[in-house]
Amino acid sequence: MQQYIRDRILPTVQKPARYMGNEWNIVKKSWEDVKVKMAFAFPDVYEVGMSHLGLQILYGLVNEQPDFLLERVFAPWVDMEERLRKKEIPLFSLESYHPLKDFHVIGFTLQYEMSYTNILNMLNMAQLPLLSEERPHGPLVIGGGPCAVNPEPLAPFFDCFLLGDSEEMLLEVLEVVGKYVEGEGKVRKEPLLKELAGIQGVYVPSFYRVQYREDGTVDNVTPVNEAAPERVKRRVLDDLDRSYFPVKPIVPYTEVVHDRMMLEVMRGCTRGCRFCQAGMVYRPVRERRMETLLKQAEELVAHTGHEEISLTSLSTADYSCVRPLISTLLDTYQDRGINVALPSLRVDAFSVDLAREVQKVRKSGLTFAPEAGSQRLRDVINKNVREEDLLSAVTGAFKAGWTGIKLYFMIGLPTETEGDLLEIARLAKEVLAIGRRELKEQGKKAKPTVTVSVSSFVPKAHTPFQFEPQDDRQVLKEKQELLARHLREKGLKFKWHNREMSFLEAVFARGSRKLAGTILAAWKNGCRFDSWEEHFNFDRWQAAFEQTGVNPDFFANRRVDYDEVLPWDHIDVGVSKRYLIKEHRRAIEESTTSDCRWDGCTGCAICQRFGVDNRLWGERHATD
Amino acid sequence: MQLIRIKFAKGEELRFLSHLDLMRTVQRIFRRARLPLAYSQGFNPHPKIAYSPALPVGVTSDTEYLDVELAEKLQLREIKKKLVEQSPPGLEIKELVEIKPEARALNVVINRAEYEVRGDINISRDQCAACLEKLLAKREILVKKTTKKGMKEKNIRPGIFNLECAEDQSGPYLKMLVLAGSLGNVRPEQVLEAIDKECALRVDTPRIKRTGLYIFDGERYLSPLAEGC
Repeated sequence: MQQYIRDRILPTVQKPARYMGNEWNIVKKSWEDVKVKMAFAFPDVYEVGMSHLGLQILYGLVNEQPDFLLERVFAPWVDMEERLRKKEIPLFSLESYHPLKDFHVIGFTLQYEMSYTNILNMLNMAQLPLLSEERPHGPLVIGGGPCAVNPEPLAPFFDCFLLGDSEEMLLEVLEVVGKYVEGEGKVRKEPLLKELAGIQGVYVPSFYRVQYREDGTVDNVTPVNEAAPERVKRRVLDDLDRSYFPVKPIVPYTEVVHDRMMLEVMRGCTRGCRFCQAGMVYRPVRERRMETLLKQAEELVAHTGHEEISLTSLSTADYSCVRPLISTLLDTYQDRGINVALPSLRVDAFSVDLAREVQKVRKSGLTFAPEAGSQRLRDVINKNVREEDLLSAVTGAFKAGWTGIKLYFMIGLPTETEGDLLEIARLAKEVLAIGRRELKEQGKKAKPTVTVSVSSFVPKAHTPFQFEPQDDRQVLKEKQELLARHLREKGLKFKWHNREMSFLEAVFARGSRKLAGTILAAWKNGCRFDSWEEHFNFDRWQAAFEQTGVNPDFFANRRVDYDEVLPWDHIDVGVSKRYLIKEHRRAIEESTTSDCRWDGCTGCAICQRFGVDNRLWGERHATD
Repeated sequence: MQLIRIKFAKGEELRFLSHLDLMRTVQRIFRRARLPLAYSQGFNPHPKIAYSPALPVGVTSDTEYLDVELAEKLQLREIKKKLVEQSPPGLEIKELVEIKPEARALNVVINRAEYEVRGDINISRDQCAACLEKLLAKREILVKKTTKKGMKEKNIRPGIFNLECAEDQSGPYLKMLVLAGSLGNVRPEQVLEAIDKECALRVDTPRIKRTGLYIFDGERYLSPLAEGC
């Protein structure tokens, strides 16, 4: 089969290296000698999936165990799908080319809502039934990642979800799976799920019954199996410093989105931006020690040969040892042709300073995310950035030689007025004016450019803004047009995110099990690769809502009462609903909340309830 | 400082790598091997590695070459050992020679490439020979070429120096010697297309391998390893 695919199929598709396997550091285990076989399924193309650190962590972790193996599979691009379907070749893994249906466990990572139809498509290409109940003997289909904090729209397709830091629980799960394995691709699923439900972090959706009220809201979610807890608690890795880290990651041959070494400096963020799901569901802040990171960097360099080290986290400038870490890495590796990269910058001069240190060539522009144009609205969303922070950051950037600045904003935020929107335009023009002045002073011929990139607010589960409606699409359209009118100036570029995609994201981010049928219908209508503009087809989605009698506005555009039972209330990510309500109220009052890693507890309750704590190793930066 | 010319093979495991993918892979091999690459000057330093004419995606090769500059002088045996250790399956380091600084670039001196095409050929060996003879008798062999400006026709006849039906223990195959390098390239797929058009000779799921890269000086075919030393 492998030979057939290589000789007959791969020569006829685009980018065949996506399906080739054989990369450096790939782990090929003897199929027969391993008890539990798991496939890690990424519901997007290879180049996207291979840029994902979580894959590399779990790949290394599981494959170090003698009794388990983990192989990879990505969503085949449409041309490959067509060839495989035509020849009736079932979807296979890249390591051993085994069909997915021969694995005991298939684990999908749920990175974004717009990948859901790809999950169904991959199961179908694997020649497996889509619904959990139609797979009584396995394989066990599991899901994890950020969207697992509200997996309800996917509930009927999955056997269970892992909530939280998977490296903390996956081996435990596979250990249990091992007890119920029965030959190729088969498990005794019923007793297996019962035992799995007892592990903290495992959510078995079929063990819960959801009852709705007449108005479509949830009345109650009740466990219907004695093994299932009332609420499922997220699993939290307490000590990142001593946790597993893959120092021999797979090195792709073909260029992937993030083609570099990833050094995870910390996990979690407590800045408390009220729209941000990651900032709520990955608490607390857990840092790695600098010495640990330096050791990991040394090994990564030796084992990969990559030319760049990226310091990853939700906000790397907040890492307490960021400055000494960067200078040590530069001192050690610069002469060996290895750069350091910072994927995200905070909006302040300190971050620009860091960027100046690591980026010797000012090739790309610098990106900042003030998120809102006015101070009032930034206070509402708790993005604790002052205008002078932004202005001093961009001044520093132009002085240091950058000529392009990219600014990220969100529109449709709660309480937003036309005045707030006009502030975005004013701010962009102000930044451009600073650029002109600075470049002129330096006697440069280059003209500055300011790119304003605008996305639409999506209310997400487990955030203070989960109660807020998304703006109607027509309103978003008008807001985008208003900005376009005010951002017409030489040197200004305006980009906006597809509002129909944002709408669907909102539908599924706050969706209930009622949406499962819609996802299925959309997939049957031909939807896949919905996050790719060239494949996104909103008409097919609208048809799917009609076919299934679901009103999507109910999920996306409705204000939710504090006392309403939410479809995800039985999922306990650690942050209490009381805190989310309190934060929502503070938002409306335009009061800000400080960062608990530096200024004392703000009452989200995770540390007390889960027995964890922020773990910082260094001092707070002088510039904060 | 040391200049080295390396002969390597690109096997079945890596046949779908593009030239860019291969370049990235080679750089990473050198970094893993901790060999002291010399870097170009300027704002964006990059390692000084230059390659023989790019191999089309899907084609394997027994004879690829690269020139690399190292910042220090090391024993060739030592360099080879380290490279072999860090090379993935499908990339075989075959031979290393030291070259002089005045050696001309591989892409400039190499002007001939030899390919073998294996697979099921739909006509007999005699018919094959007759077909190729007929084709080579032509002055002009036009093939379509996609360029940035759209489709263009290109005459590949002047770039075909030998084309024959051959046979060995693993069966019949096509063998060709064509133009390669900075003066132009004839791709084996283009030759196959022309053969098909001429007399419906087809190779089912062709496996194409580059079996030689040469410097033709008008009389002799020289190996790139012999030149530049």
